[in-house]
Amino acid sequence: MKHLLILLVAVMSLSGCSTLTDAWDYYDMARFDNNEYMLANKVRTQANLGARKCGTPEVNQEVSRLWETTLELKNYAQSMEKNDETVTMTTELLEIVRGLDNRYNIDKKETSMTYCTRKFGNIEKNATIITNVIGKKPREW
Amino acid sequence: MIDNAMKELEDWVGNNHTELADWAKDARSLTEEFKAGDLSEDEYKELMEDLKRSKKISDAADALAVRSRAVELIDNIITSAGVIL
Repeated sequence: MKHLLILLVAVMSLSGCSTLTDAWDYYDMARFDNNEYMLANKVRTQANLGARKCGTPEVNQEVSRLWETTLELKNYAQSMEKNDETVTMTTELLEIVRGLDNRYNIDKKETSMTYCTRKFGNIEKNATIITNVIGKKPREW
Repeated sequence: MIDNAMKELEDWVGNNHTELADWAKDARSLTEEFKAGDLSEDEYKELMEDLKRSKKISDAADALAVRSRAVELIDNIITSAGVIL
């Protein structure tokens, strides 16, 4: 019992919780979800494959696919309760992808090869971080 | 067992996605590419903005990793207590 209290205090101080209610809110989080994980992994894979199309006419289609999947991931994460960190991550990722989509499919600007590979690389790196961390969410009881 | 759990929790706090991602290094190489003329000014600005967003993603990932581990440890304790009782 003494050890349990020590752990509880440690968790409370880590989370910045000052009351038991805060501690409960910290504990009560969205658990691992197969669909969320699958969508994050899909974004990662599409970013990886999209980078290979830089400099070709097919890149626009890859960008559209990536935009749709990232939007789906953000919307799915938002539909789950107590999922704040994942909503933050996917919202920021969507804004990064929005820049790519604007350039290729809306403004249709000239883009350099460096921009294309850098952009896809950054999206893949972030999607990898997101996939890894949501893959480690605690499982349902 | 609980002492190990506390150590594990502390180790997780030190596990930092921001450091692993090394966004500062990316910013330096982007600047070099811009100076070399490989990126236009608006491309460069957009990519630099992306790094700020990437930092926010890393920070949220770190927070989620710590929270997930803490919750998992509490789950394990509750399960263990149930077995004992």
